Amino acid sequence: MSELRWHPFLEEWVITATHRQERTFLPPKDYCPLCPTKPGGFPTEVPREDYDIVVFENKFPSFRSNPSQPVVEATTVSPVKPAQGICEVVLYSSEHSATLTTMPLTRIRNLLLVWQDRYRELSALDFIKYVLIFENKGEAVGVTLHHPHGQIYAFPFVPPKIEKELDASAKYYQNNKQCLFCATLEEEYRDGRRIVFEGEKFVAFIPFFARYPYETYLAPKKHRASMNEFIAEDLDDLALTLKGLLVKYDSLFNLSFPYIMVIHQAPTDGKDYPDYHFHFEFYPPLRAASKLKYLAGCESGAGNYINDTLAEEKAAELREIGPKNIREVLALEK
Amino acid sequence: MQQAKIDFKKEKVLMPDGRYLLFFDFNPNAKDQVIPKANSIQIEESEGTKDV
Repeated sequence: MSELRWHPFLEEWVITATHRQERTFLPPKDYCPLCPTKPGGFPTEVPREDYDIVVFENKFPSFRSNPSQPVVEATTVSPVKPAQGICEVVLYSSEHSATLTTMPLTRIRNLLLVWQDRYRELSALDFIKYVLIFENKGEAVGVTLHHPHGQIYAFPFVPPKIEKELDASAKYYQNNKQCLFCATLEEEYRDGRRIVFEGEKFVAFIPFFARYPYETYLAPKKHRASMNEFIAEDLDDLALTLKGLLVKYDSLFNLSFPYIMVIHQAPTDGKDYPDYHFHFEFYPPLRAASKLKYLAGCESGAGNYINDTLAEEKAAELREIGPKNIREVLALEK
Repeated sequence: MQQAKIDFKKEKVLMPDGRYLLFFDFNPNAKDQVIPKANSIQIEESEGTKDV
């Protein structure tokens, strides 16, 4: 059962999805539901002996294309509506122990094409207003299946965080006739201290306002509102820059670095967003090799983050480890 | 917009519970071994293209 319940104090929807309590939780490696189905083996979600990249509708979705009616009556204070949307799972590889970081560049680039395909196809549905592509990696962020995969939530509304970014971008554009993100990138280049890794067309940096010690943004240097606008050369360079950043993350504490990775791009609600800039946001939960950052009283209760570190220092740390440029990323392939 | 070369083959399969599965094959010459599963229905096969 899924439904959208209105939070009148924050003026945003809360998605209730009670069936998700039943989802598979950290199964043994031999019973991974995301691995290919082996002859004579138990049937997984993928009824084939091998696969390249697979996308399927989530068995435990928060949204459904044909949702049931809410179980409660709406009131003036408490509106409720069916949770219509689509939730997809993206399997990056048939190899159970791989991670996005350890995958060859060609596979990362192929994954970008799959994301592009899903963004285009889902955005064509009239009830989809926003397509959120993301990956939760590591038990530290609540992952229940270790097989390398990400998710796509196709929302029936523009999510509140994106709405806030859109408002800020529109306001800045109105006052300055420039994209806010482009202006931020100009400042980052002028300062230089928070740049972590640079490709030819993309750049990764810890933003001035970072809320997590190793929070990183990865964005095209030229203005692009969504993946729809990427040409082949953009995808080549994005694969390299993404891999460069991910290898740096894994090198940081010599472990498979946990993170939440989300892609922010233009909504798919039929309007134009010339002032919005495509970017990845990474929220890694680690603040040291064995210390987690929790969203505690101030973050959860007031909505204000406290970062115990300086973006400039953490960016220097990341800059110094792992590959320094795209040549060194390419060398990792050999 | 410039139409680029075909990058992948996309195959849509409908599962018994009504959910879809999309197989993206970036090497269209490779032959996947299909394991028959009761009521798995292939409903669509299309060539993926890249609009650039």
